[in-house]
Amino acid sequence: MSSEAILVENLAKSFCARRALGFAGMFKKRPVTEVAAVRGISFAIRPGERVAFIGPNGAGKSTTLKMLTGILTPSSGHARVAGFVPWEERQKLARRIGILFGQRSQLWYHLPVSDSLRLIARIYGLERHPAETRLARLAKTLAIEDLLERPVSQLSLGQRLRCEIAAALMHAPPILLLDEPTIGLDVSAKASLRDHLIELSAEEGTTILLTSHDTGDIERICERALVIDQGLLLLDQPLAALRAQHLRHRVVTLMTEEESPALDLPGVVVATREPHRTSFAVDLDRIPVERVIATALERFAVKDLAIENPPLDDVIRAIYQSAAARAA
Amino acid sequence: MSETSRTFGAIAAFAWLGWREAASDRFGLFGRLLLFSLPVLIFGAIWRATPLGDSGHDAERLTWYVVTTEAIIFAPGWVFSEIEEDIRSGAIEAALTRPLSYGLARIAEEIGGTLLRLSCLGVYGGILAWLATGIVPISSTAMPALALAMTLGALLALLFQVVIGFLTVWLGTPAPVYWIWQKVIFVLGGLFIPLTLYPAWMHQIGIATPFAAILYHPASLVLDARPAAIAAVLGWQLLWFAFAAFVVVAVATAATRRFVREGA
Repeated sequence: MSSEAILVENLAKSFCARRALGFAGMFKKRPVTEVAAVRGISFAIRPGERVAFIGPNGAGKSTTLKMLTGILTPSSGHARVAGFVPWEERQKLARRIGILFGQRSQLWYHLPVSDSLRLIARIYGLERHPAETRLARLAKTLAIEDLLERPVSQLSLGQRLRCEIAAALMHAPPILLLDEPTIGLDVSAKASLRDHLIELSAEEGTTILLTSHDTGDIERICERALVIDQGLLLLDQPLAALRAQHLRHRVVTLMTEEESPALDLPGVVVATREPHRTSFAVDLDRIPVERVIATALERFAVKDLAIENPPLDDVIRAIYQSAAARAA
Repeated sequence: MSETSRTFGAIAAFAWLGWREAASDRFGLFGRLLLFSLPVLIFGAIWRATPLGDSGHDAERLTWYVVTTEAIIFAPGWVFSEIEEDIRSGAIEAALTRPLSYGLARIAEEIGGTLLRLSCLGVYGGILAWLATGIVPISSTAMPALALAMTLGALLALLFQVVIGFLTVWLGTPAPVYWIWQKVIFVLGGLFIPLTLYPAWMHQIGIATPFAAILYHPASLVLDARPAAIAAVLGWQLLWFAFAAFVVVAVATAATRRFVREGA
């Protein structure tokens, strides 16, 4: 048995798409086109790791996640999740994984949240006492104690998603698969949900594999990223290495006595400018950030300064651009 | 806890969920009772105005017959359309990630709802029929057999709806199949008229179909509830129940296999 929480080897999935022929062609055989959604990806995730699965729409993220949960059979390749082959042992695997599809509910719309959670506990065969203990603990950690007696239909999206996470974690799965967990949430609800996920993962050592278009989810929750595009795995790296390799610039912001300071250094350009506050984009291949700061301190009356990494969005865009350039 | 007891616990939980959902849907339940009253009252009036001659039937018992068939047909929910919705919306994906088969969970939930509705319709229908006819055509000793036959009829109808629902995977929408099934059950099941009043050849065909096992056979107990008749009714029903269970398992397995192969 593998010691990895998730092990994927050359996993591929193609779908057969039939072309619509309209009314005139209703008695004709429709031509079938094979569409490759995932094209032989491999990776391994250790127990307790928090990994982001990043890619644009149609990249193959959700298809891969579905194969890992066993609700989709691959065309070829191999995978083991918690020691099970997902598409062969789906119901056994179900006891070892928790799943959250951000756009689909696992709760019963008209029932109070607590009833849904108790029902889920019974579906997973939890004894009454451990189930109640677990429910109380999740309710406290996810701050849903006040929501337990309210029907799901009366919850806001943010409240519902916190309850969905409780539902996914009722049976204390060692692996949590999250598909767009913060989709549609406002900024504060997103932040709260991310904090809860990190706390739970840290407390219980839960392995997390997360797909999201929101780079905030990835930055806040994950320590490693798998970047997929057109069904191919482009990168598999720790987030820090991803930044270092694919983003060769920093943003240096200076708050100065001078209204609009100028730095005529090679590889330094003004990114944004407000009175007494100027941001410079620094090209690290041409000049080290330390030299930029030393020069600024020398020339201006600096009241404050900040060195920022550019947003992860830029990193991902850079990865796609370099992949596209390689393909061309 | 063993795997078997876990499974039974989960099935019981889904059945209880279905019962509670049906109980909380008060508007739906009230609407059903209202809709149920109309054909019962109309057909009661028609039977009273119909010269039955030497048919061997009387208007009172035929009114009870319609009450029985209507209670059975009104009891199952729209499970075929719920399965269709689950498949088309992709909601089935979340259900497939649970440690209980989707089909089993769905059937258990619908059984809970069906039993609640059948209980309400049975009690309400019995009172309605008694007020309309002034008689109770079945002895108290045969009453449990009637209740059992009605339950088997409603569950049989439910199983066929489940099969129709799973056809969504192949057909895209199973509604046309449901409409045909519904019309055939009205005719060959003897919804308003007992099969014994049909032409002989139609009676012979109808009586051996699953449609009769759903409606005619259980309702025929209000016309004749002798032990031999009860045994024959339950025999037909159990035969078709075994067949329906086999078809449900086969179709649900094939549909799930296709779904996990080709996706939503």
